[in-house]
Amino acid sequence: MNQKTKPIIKILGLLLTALLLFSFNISNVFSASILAPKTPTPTRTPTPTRTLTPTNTFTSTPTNTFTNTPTDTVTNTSTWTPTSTATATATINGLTVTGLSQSNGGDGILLGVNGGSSPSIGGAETDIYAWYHFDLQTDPNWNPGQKYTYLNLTVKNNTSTIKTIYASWELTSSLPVGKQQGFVQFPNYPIVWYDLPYTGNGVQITIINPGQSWTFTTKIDAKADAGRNVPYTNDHRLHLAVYPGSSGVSTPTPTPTATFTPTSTSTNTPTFTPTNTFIPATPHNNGSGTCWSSQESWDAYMVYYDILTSPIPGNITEADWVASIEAAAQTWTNVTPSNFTFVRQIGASNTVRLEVPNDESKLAASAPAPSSGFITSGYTKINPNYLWDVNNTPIPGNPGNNGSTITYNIQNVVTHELGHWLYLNDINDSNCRDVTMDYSSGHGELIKIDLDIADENAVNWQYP
Amino acid sequence: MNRRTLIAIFVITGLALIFYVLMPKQNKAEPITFTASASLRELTIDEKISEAQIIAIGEVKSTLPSKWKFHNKKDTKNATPQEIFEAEGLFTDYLISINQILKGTVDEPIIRVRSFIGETDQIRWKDSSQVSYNKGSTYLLFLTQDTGPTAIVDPGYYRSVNANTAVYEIVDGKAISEDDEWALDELISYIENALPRTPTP
Repeated sequence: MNQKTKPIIKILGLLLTALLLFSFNISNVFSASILAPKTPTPTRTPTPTRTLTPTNTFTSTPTNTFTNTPTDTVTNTSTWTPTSTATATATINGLTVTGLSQSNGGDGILLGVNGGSSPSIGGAETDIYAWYHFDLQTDPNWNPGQKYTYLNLTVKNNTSTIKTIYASWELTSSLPVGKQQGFVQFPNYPIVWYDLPYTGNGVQITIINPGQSWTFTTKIDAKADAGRNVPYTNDHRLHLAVYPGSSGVSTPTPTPTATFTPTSTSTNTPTFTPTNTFIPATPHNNGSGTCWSSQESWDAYMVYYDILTSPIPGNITEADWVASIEAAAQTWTNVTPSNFTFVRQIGASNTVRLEVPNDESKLAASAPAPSSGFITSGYTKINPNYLWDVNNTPIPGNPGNNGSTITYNIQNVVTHELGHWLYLNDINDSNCRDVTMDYSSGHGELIKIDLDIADENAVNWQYP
Repeated sequence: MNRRTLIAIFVITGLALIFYVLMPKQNKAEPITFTASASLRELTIDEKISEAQIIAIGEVKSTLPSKWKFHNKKDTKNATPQEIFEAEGLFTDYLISINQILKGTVDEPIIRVRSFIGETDQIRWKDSSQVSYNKGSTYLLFLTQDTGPTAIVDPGYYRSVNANTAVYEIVDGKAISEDDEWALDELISYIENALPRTPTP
């Protein structure tokens, strides 16, 4: 061994020493490697853990209280003060008669509306009738040879004169004293004269399609031929009658002539300023108390579920089946002051369904799936190999049982199972047989339908 | 030993220590735990006796690897936790050596009894209604052949007629189930008396 090889040998020796220093770990190092085969885990010697007397005690006491109380109210003090008023006038039946006057040299003409006999016309248009009535008196000095008298009827549209009609009578000696008839024609204007049978009721005119205001002016112009005495009349009357047509004339809508203009504007914008903000508490987990214990919780207070109804037991209607399960869910929702809520939502991934559990001796099986410390989904399987009922009526003397000896009550069992969705544990304690989370159910049992105070304590603690 | 040698020793030792410290990070992750629950029937001892095909006393010899319902299509270790959750979890078969038969007959001295719990590298499936059989412990079991959804995987096994209420662990001369407790000899006597007597040839 020369001088050159000595250092090399020294280094090799040191390396060997170093390797020995951590050789105690070398098997662990390689067991973590994918290259090394797995070492079988030594089987633990079983140690009997069962004891006859449960030694666990429940010391946790729900202490959650609600302290947030919104106290705000909204007050709007603004008022509206309109200063203008709205008025509107409407034209009845599309016609306004704005004036009716007469001039007959002194004899009075009285106006009547809708008087006289009813004309025998109808149709779509609105008709207006006007007829003139007078009684002819015979002047003792009157010469029958002077036999004409006249009626002027002026029709105006608003202020424009549309037509002036003259009617005349030939007064003959054969004409009886009394009521006489005048007649007019309007061939070139939409005013149609109807020839009434001789009734002595005077002149009648009909206006078709009136859409505007009309003014009628009548004038009796008694002419005397060659200075003859003029027969005089009395009891002059101009009659008007309006008969609405069935169509063709629209009934105008009253148009307000004044516009509602608010002069005051609300300037006070109400603002809701909460003085207290409600912050839901965080769900708890892994709690325990008298006759209850729990594991993880949902990270939300609202859990959606659906009920799969195909198939359902043949002896139960779908409506009853669904109602029983919904009632079971509502029982947990109703717990106060807990904010936990079951909401049925068609198509929700969390389902209650009829399906044989892997252990077919079970009446029903539930499994919530935790992830990152929270429940993320869940399901309940109801075993179709057993007979079920929806009879929630207890038998006399036994409020916790419907008397069935062959069926299990679906609401009773599902209420228990949905308690597992909240991740409440089964309870097997002879002192807690009445709690909903008691682990077993008998035929016809109803006692789990209503929650025990222990069940409510569990929910209120887990989901404050 | 010169200075260079000492430095080399310190460096190598330091590297070894660093490697050792980092080692725990390479350990496998904790399995995800699911806890299933159930509603069980209230069964009297007479109903358990009536429903059981086999009533036997036996000792747990070993525990087989846990499987899931679709193990025949996809190996359990390849199934995702979500798939196993949807399939209602794992199950485990236990080999039990029969010491005494009170009802029925078995073809082999060792039978398989299934419990619907289990554990793999990925997930741990717990169920408070199921029996976790302890190796070396002795049980009085009310069993029936399973026809449930998992029967397609390794058929020929038995299950309890009513989960953990129909399996009595024998401890200090007592037989104890989830909802019942007897002196063992009294329970055996009760069962024998409840069964129809077989005429002695």
